[in-house]
Amino acid sequence: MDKERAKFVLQSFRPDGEDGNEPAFAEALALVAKDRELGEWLADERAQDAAFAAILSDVEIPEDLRNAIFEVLEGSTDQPAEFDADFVGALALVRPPEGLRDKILAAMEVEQKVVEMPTHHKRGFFKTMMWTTSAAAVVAIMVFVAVFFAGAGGNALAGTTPKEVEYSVIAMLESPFFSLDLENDRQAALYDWLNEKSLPTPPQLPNGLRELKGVGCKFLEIGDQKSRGSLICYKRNGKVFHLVMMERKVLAADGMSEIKDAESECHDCDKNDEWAVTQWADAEYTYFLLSKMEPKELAEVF
Amino acid sequence: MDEFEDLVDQYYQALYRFGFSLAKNPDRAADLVQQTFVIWAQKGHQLKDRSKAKTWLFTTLYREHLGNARRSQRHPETEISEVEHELPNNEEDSGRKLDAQRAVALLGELDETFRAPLTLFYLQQHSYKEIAEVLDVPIGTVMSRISRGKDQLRKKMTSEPSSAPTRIVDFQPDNFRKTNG
Repeated sequence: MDKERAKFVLQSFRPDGEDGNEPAFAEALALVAKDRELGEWLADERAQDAAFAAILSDVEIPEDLRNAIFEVLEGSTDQPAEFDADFVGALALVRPPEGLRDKILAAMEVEQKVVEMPTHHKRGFFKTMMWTTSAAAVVAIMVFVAVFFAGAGGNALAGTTPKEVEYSVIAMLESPFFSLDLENDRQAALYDWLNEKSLPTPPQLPNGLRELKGVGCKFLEIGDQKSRGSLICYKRNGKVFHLVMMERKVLAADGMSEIKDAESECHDCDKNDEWAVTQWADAEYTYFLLSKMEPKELAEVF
Repeated sequence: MDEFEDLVDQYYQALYRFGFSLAKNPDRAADLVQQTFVIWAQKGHQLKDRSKAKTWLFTTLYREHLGNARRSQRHPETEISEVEHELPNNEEDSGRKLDAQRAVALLGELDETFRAPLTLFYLQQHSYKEIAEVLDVPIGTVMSRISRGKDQLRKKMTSEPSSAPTRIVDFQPDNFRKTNG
């Protein structure tokens, strides 16, 4: 290490001497001990740093900041009950605009035509409502599928982020019309079914999922390229874990980590309503593991 | 004293100073600190290694600041005033307090790249490794930014005597305080 390098390194040496035992500075400090000029430079550098640090520590802290921190937190836990009650009361007074019901029914009628509802059968009002409601839900799922799982453009998902996929998967799982293609509690049976259909199966699973009972699986068609993906569901202690696999090329997966880092990802993950989510990728596929639980519980499967 | 209160007492002042240097505004600095602890209250339990709480808090505040900065770029609000106009300006301010204001102002004048690592360095609560962790940059980058940041800071101090009343030619602590005392 030459003198210039030593100076460069020692510029990160805290003036209070806290870094005295840090190995990275040892070599530079050894040089200081031998070189008088370097020693003088370091003394001057530390004096300047200490002066600036002392001045910075004089920045006035708002008197009420400490209390404000606690008040904000109390507010975030205590106030909502009262606040919510007021809000609920206020909202209960809101009346829907006249004619809204008719507009909804008219809109449903249009939707009914869009999905080419057979019209030669007469239906009672209730049946029609049931059908159109179902049709609306199907349309909603179709839109979802179009955007995220069936894709509208040739490379529609290439710019899609993992977060968007996460939201979409949750929307799919929470849809009242969601169903599995195969229900079976044996993992092997699920993988056999997926293999028969040339659908992806996970080459490696988090330890905690390997021995679990299966729930079922589903074929996912992704993007305009009709990339094939899988949903596999497992069960532990009454809670279901949903694993979605899709080809890496269909979304922006550059920032996704490997399975070995998925546990820490899980700790960092935002809880999405009731869902905890973690994700990882290998050379070929991206994986999303979701369950209705706390992130720390999800982390336990790794 | 529970863990949370202890954590607040240990770090809220340093977090405020860091936030102040980043946001260049006392109200936004206070908001950043409050928001940081709100996030801790919501997610802090997920942190297994409690010894990392300090780094976690500074990282969170830094990320919140970056998020705010991105949002304000998309939705610009009113022009941010010069920091000195927004700082508390009590008549009884001593010379020493003025120094602190000027120190923050000078840090605020640095390139964004240098401001955060240099502020963390001067707060003396973090080693260069921890600074690298907080800012999510390599250790070598932190050293380089501290070094270059100091150069920039000192140039500003010596080249702007009128705006830097401290006239810190040599920046010796004694000279510094005498000049302003």
